[in-house]
Amino acid sequence: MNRKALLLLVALLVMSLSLGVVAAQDSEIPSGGTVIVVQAGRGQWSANFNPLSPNPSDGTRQVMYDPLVVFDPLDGGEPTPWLATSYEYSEDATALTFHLRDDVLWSDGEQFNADDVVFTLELVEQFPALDRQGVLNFFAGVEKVDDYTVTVNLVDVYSLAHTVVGKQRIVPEHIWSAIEDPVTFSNDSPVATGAFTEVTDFTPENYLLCRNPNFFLEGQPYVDCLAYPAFTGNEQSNLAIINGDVDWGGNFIPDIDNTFVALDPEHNHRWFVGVNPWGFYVNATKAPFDDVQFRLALAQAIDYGTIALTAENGYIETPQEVAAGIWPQFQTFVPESVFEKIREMGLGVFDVERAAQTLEAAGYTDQNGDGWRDMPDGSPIEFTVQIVNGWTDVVTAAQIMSQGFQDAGLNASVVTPDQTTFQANLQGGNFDTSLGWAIWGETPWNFFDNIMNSTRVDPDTGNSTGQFQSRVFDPAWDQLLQDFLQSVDPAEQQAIIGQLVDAYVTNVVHTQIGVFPAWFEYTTSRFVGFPNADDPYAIGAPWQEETARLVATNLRCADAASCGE
Amino acid sequence: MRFLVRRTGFYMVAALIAITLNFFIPRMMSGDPVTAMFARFQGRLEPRTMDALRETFGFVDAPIHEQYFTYLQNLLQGNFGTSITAFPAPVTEVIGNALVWTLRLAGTATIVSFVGGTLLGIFAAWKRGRFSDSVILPFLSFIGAFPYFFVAMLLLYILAFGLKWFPLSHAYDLSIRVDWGSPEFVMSVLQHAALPAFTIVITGMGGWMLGMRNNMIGVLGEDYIVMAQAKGLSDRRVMLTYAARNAILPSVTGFAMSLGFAIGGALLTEIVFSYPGIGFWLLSAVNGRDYPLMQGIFLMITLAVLLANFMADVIYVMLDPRAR
Repeated sequence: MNRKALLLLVALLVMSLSLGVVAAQDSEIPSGGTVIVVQAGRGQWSANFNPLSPNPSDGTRQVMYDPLVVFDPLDGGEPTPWLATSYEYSEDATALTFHLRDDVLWSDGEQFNADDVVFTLELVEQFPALDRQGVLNFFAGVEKVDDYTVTVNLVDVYSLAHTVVGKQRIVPEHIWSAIEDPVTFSNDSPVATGAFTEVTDFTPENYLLCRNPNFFLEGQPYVDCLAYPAFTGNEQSNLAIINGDVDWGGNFIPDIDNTFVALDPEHNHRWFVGVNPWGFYVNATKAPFDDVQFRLALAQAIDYGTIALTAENGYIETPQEVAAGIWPQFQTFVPESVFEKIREMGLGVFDVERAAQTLEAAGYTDQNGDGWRDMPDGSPIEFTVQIVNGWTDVVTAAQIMSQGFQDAGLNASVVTPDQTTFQANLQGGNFDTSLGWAIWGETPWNFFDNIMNSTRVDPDTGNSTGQFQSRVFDPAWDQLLQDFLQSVDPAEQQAIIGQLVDAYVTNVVHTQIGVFPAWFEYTTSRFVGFPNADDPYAIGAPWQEETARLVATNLRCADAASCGE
Repeated sequence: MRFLVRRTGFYMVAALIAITLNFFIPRMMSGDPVTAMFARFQGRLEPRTMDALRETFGFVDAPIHEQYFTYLQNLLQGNFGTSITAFPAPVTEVIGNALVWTLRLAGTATIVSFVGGTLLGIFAAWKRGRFSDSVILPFLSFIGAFPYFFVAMLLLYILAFGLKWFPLSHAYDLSIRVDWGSPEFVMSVLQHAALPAFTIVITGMGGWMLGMRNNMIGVLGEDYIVMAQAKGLSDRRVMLTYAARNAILPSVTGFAMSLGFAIGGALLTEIVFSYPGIGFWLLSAVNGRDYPLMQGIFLMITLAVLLANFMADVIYVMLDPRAR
């Protein structure tokens, strides 16, 4: 095809695109109205609209400041172009280039361009406390290629760099370059590119984020404002949701089908998609948890079905493969041999008798006659299952688990410290066993890296820097995790994940009790356009930092009253 | 006067001890603010970022005594630091915003509860065995015996959720603009405060009433009461100026204490009704290991209690000449 023909084609494409927009507007999407949003009980507001700060007010990272690319965990991390239209790695994979939209304006009318992206990344480099994404793990500088093209240089090959830089929230250079300390900057009158940028009526009780007059998606958002009332806790916000005071919620509501949906089945809905893997960690630096047979017996003594039904009200399913650490969207990564192994070992299947047999065979018997099994050398075994106080669903899960352990002859009990103590215990290796979440990522690598990477433990303090670990380690696994990052060949990456899954399963590193959903409930009596099972365009939870923007820009009022007319 | 000077010295020492405990007790809890922050994120912060944040918040590993002296120095300069749960708002701003609501709700409710309870107590003792003594007193004591949380939840569920007589939560209707000049807004504030205030009053009144009644009964047996009645003074005069004035002394101390504590906010009320105030911030601060905010709030409560006690001492001196 010659150049002229190509140009013509592009012109045609552009025209048809703009025609599409006009057609969409002709169908008269009603606009207006204020959507009441509850992300979770967070207490009272203190204005902080700094998207790089560790605790911005709700909505700041969701609908106010934009990433280059939107990654939806629902699509297995399929990217939706946002501020960037596309990205590509260089030939040797040590540079990552983003092509930016050229039609984006900041909410104050200034043009958004490559300078802002360069400025933001350099700001993060200068102030590591702003590195929410982990860009500095591989960052070796950023270059402006032209006004709408930016190249990020990588220290080494880092095959997940696009997911990290892609999620970086971009801040305006023309405002932020004058800010002396961007870490403590609370950004009370934000200038951003997102759909909702205008902070209105801010009080510690409530605030509104209203539409960005210069938002780059023509005609969107359809609603005028999002309102964020503050609630002191889940009980309070649940009551408001059940009472019909909230349009868009992201709460765990016990028995939601009866307590919420049934009140108005026509309008009240919930849509739960699994995104949050929860599991059982042991502390393998302590006996008997260093014994793989003991860990296996524990895994066999967990009543997965009852946990799903009782603790989580049946909102989660725990198929055997999930319990072994493999979610449906990642199953293609897993060799058949691993599935066979899972079945053979009885992972993910509740069978107390089998657990007892496993323990018996490994030499854990009751030697002192107190009714509980002891170590092969005769010393007693007694351990706790740790879980956060007040997180009622998982506390129930921990109780069900400890019951299963007791039935298998183990002296287990549940302890419930507060969240910070829980966290400090887990990271410091100061626990016996614990329930806890794991990290969901764009690829299975993120999950395994967090759980199996020994380099995450600080050799001096013994603190795991960051995520939770059972502390079952092997230098070979560290190498595999490193190799994955330095590989750009999908087949090779798949083979590496296969090996990691195999090691994870064979060594019973960690046991999953289920993938918890992104809690999401909504009422369509005032606003429509929420994602659901029939139209799963994004994860619906309003707190979801990446995808909430897709939902917020798609909502529209249902009738004249809710449109504010 | 010597009495008051001596008391002042005592309060100074108490304040100093409180300030010191204020610093050390929060630091004895496990975990630090950054761990707490990380916990709230459910593990989605990079280790490197956490280190940088520790530095930003000023929790580098300086020796504890050095930290203590910095703390004292800052305190003298009126610098309470930056809150971490409400980062980057200064502690004084957080407390200032919340204090207004706390004083309005918890302060007023405590006063109403005390005045009402005491008057009822006086009356119950005067007319012993009659309605107020045999029905109201047992009823209020009965309610007061329940955990406050339970009563508040129950009233919230029945009166606000079930019957919809009162709003469910918050200090005012969120769809109205905050404007103290508009009658609509003020009405809304009153409406929203009614139920939380009612729960505080109804659960607290029993205690005041019982205390006052028992004091009164002791006083009513005194000879000067008989004398006053024999003089032919009106019942009201005998009841209030002869009996009640003498019987109220122990209650005043209790009232001063509870007024001081009211500054600390009605924690449970604020949680149940999603009502703004100091109490809820204190809970968030503890959960978030927010040392600066905790210190700020504790200091304020301590000073308020000490001040209230001092006032009680002064009132005591005025009411009871023997204390002079």
